[in-house]
Amino acid sequence: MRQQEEVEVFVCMNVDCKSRGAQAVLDRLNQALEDKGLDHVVPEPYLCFSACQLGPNVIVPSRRCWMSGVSPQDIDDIVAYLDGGEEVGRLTEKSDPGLKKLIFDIIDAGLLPGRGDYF
Amino acid sequence: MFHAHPAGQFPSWEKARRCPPSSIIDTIELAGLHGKGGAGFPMHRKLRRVNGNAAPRKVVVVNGSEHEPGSLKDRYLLSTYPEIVLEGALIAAHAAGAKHIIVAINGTAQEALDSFGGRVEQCRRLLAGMQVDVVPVPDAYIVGEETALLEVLEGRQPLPRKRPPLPVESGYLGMPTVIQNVETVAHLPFIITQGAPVYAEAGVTLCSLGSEFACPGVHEVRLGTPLGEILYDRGGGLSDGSPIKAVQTGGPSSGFLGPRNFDVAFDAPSLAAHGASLGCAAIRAYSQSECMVRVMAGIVNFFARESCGQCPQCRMETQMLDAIFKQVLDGKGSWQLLDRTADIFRMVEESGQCGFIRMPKDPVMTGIALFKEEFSRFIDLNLSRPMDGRNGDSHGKTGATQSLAD
Repeated sequence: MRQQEEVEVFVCMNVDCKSRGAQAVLDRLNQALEDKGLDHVVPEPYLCFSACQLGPNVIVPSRRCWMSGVSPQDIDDIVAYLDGGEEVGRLTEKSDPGLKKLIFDIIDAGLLPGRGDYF
Repeated sequence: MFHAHPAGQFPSWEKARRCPPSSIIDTIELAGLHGKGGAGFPMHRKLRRVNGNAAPRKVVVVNGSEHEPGSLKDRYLLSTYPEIVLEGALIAAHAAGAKHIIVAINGTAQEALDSFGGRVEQCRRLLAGMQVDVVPVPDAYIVGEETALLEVLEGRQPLPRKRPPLPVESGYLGMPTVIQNVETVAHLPFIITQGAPVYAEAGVTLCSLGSEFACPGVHEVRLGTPLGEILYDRGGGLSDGSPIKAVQTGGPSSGFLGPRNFDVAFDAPSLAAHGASLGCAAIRAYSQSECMVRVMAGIVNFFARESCGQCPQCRMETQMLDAIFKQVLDGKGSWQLLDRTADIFRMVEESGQCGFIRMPKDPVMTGIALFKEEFSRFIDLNLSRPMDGRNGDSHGKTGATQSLAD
């Protein structure tokens, strides 16, 4: 069976997003992915996307997908999207194009997600 | 310019008090006195705004918090010439129409606190009803920001305020407030006694040379002096005798200058034209043996630690820069990643509640350009070892990020 390519999902864990419930989002996402057996999808905490007022923010760099205002109640729809479904429009429509480009360019350039090593 | 006064005498203040405040402000404008705390704002403009305000009560705050790493001049003046600082504050208060002076001094600068506080107590009966308070303030970098200082003086956390209003409109407890650095007010007695043209001609400022110099300490220098003269003739060069590889002329937020720019005139416009800054004139020199990538990592780490965290953009900027440099030190950086720093600065250009957000840009941009070879050791050669010949362990996951306090 052909192994699926890894898909990274970054969840902002800076002060503001955390205060808006980002940890619960990350926990629920991990659980839902495990329940569905989507081992190739790898959620990681990330430093900051500077979009605090729209947080919690969740991005999928390989698909240039930026989701804002994410709550644990949105996770089922997000997992469905990650499993090949449609983007969750209500979560993607608020993102700032300039900020989106900056953050995705930085990720493409190799700024690693936060596993406690660099932030 | 600074000479000890006979105790209990304030000849410049006595002279100033016989003149209307507006003429004192005109004199200060003619003298061209700009703030010595780092921002370089013309003093007369603040005085004019506050003096012209119809509010019945006004305040002068003298900022002696001196948190800029390497700066020594303010505590030097407070310790050695407290009467000059006091006299300058009195002149400023007269010009502003204020009857209340608050002198904020870094809580760790005990000698400055004792010396200045003692002089104020000795001279209380000579102050003609002027209220002078000496307040120790926390040793945190952001307290140097004037509205963060006001927050501290009002008993709150040092979080910069939104502007408008400016402190000259609504400052300490809502009163029109002039906030000036210790050195700035210390220049006033000379201006009043000798006159604006003599002062402008003399064109002196204080600079701080760090312990890396053969002649460290506070030096009075003439603005416009070639930088190299200050580094080698006044400072004696590095104490180990080695040539200077690079300098920052205005504290950690100043751009780097290499030897081919050591002929630049030591003044605000000339330094700015070369990507550096006069700032508070705290000069730091780096030797050939210092790893500039580690130096820069220490600087961005400093800014990440000292950010008050109020503004998301400042948090993102300072923490991302810190993370980028840590990755570079760990051999996990790339030229593409360093290129992204320009995008980060562009993104936050118009943001932030105070000037702190703009501080990392000059050292990062000039440093990346000047020290490409040193970055290459970490990026192209993937050698996450210092170039200073110190026994190079592979520095573990986070790398040995050099703290600015080290």
